[in-house]
Amino acid sequence: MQFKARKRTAWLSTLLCLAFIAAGCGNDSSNRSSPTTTSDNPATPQATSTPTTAAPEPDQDRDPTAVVIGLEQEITNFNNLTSGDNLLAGRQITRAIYPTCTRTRPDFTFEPYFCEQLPTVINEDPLVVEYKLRADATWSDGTPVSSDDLVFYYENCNDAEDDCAATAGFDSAELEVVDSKTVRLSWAEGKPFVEYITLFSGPFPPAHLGRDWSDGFREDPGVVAGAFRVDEYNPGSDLTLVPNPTWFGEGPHIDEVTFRFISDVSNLPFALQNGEVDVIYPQPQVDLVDQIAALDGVSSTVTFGPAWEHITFNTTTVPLAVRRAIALALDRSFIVAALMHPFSPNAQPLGNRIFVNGQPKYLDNTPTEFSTRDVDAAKATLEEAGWAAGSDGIYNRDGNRLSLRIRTTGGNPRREQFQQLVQNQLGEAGIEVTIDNLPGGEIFAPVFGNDNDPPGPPGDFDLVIFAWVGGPLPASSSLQVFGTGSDSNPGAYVDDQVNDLLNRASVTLDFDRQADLLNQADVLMWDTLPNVPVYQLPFFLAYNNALSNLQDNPTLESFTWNLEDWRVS
Amino acid sequence: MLAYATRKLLISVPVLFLATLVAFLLVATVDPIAEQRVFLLSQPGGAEQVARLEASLGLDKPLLERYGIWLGELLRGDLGTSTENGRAVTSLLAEAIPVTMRLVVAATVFSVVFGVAVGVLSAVRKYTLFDNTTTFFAFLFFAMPVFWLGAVLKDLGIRFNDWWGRRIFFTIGEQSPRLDADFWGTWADRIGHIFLPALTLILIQLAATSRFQRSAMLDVLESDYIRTARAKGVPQRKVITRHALRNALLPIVSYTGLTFGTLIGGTVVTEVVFNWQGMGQLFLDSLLDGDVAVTQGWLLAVGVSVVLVNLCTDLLYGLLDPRVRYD
Repeated sequence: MQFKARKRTAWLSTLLCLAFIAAGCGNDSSNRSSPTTTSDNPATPQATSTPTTAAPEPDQDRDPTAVVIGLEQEITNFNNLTSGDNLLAGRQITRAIYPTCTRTRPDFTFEPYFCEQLPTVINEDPLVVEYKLRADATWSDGTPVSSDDLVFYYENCNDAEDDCAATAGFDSAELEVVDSKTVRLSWAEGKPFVEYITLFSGPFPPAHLGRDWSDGFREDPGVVAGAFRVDEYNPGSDLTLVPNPTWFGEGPHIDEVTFRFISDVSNLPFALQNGEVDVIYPQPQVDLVDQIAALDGVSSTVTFGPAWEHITFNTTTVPLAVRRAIALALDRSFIVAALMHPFSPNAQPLGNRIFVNGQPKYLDNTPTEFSTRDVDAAKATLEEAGWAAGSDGIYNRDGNRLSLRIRTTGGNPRREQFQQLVQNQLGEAGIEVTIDNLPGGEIFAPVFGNDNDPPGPPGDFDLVIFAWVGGPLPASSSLQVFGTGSDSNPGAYVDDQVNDLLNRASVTLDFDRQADLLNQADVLMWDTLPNVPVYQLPFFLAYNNALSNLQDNPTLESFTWNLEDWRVS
Repeated sequence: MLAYATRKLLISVPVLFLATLVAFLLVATVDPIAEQRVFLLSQPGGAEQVARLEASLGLDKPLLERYGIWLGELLRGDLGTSTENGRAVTSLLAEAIPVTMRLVVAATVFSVVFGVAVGVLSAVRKYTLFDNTTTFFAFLFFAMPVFWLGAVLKDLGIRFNDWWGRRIFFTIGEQSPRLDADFWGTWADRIGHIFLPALTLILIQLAATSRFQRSAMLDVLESDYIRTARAKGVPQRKVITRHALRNALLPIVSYTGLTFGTLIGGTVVTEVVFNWQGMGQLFLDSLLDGDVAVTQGWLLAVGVSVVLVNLCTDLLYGLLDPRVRYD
């Protein structure tokens, strides 16, 4: 009997073991995805190719180091410059393997990267700019990074119809090849592209492989020029970079960088806490930031980036006196405290609609009258304009009730909260605000108009909340947003003086002078109020304390901008 | 037995056919080119482009004709191509199914084994502390949403790792990327990855299985032949294991087959919570991307697997209980 009992126990144990073994069986996940692309790039260049500069030998005395980065998105194309695949994750990965002429530092300044120096102005009018690649920049198969690569980039981005994420600048330029490492772009007389410094600064793929721009790089071609090369890619799961021995620069100091694709953001803090990933860069949410802040051994930074939220006025339905009353009645500090201080107590109301806080040219141009809330002044402004308070406290004029519609992207909790704060604050000043949202991005068709059949007119709003994204060189984009008659000016804002300043800035090559003109325009806009800027949106980077030299970059470069400089202690 | 098996197999054929119809119709009414349609129609000559696109995808044909074409291709082993990544749906399923099967196998086996054990002990020790405690936890786990239980277990797993001073349990993925370990290290890594997601499913399943087993066991224990066995002086242990348990196990076989669909549903959520790249993630991605072919393929695969599991259950039931196959 005892024997039988032991036999039964043994059977049960065997069954349980088999279950776990069966559960553990199956395809090896690293080989699971097809195609599992392991780079065919040799660790050393072909015999026929001689890199101009040997990569520094790895330090043999130290242990191998590896870093795992959790990304919410997955790369969809190793050519990140196509219009359909211009994802942030793609940029974060490809900037480590492909060249860019310049790169943007976290303070929005530029530095040469694969170019010998910042693009050089050869002639001011007509504008001619020279882009010269480093002599020692080579692809990992030994082919030099050359003018051919820049021509490949230009030819696929010089027409608005091209499958290219950014055609601005290229579409109005002619390209001339000077030599194997140098090209020149020229623009028509009187029509300079003042952001010329940003051209050729997307991570560009190799031309000499003869692949198709749009679809030829959906799989890693195995030829790189950056500090890293792709060693293994398991679609849907992970991608690993290892140092590229033909890289001309210093570093990298990490032997393996693995990007794990974790689509559900709620998994990221657990994975970071458990040491399964070392770095995360999720969309910031208050509970997530709090959760990470409570972790030991983890550092985190909140950076306020170039995207900024604002209340834009429809100037055809909201007269200037009302716009000024709104600006006086708004407590922007309170809104920032309510919405942004949970991320960082350093958040401040934005005082400029062209430069964001953190840029060298940023000035807080907020006039004293709008820097603190003044409900009495708001009411006085309305009364001077002929409005009179009704029995319920809401102003009226000529039988018209001062009731405005505010719209934003429905389903965005932060914007909806922002909206409610605006509604309450303006209500206290006698301005009735009704919320009129549409789900998600559907709001932009009535706000900006649409090209559907029948075409929809722009301006179906009184107040609208959304974000603009600034940049290191905002002259052209500012003209689009605030220039008279522009498609990107949904509030039909018109100010001739502002137009003049923005037009002059958009053809001024001296960046200091350009910034001065733009700041002058912003000062004027505080008088005529196309919008009220309120706050910049945050970026959130969290990482294991064993890592050093990480610095978030709120520009398009993102947090992997200096991956080759990272170190593991 | 052969006649019984043949009968069951024949019944499965129309059910499988129905599964294909439901899988097709559930998704076929969704417009797979909705976004392109809006964009193209806003462009000059867009209507012609939309018409060409519809023709190339077969959307210009009547629904039943499209079903016929789809079914014909299905019989040739072609489930179409993902509109998101251009890959064959069959290869996507072939990658995802083994991943999910690991979880399903682990959850089914462990939940049945432990569920039966707990259910039997609860029935035998009815209204004791053990019975009340297991009843409490059974209802507790049964009432818990899968995603929440998964998150709680992740937190507990991380606390355990901290206490142990070494990472035993993992919270994301099926195994560590670029794992460089020996045979035992590889197995430890895989088991460390499967433990928490499997436990999530096991606890949910265990709750229902144990309650079902308890009820079945109580029914049997109160039957006449058990009373007779006891009256004849058969030892209690033998009464339970030889006479009661064998009969009380039969309903569990049916129950396991019936709850297979529920288990797949739980697996979908569990895979997302633990970042497993299995059927759950595939389904979710296909829904979010509006990837019609993948969603249809997924529904079909799950439908077929449920039918097959229930067929197996019926056959097993027939094997275990002669009364069934002689009906």
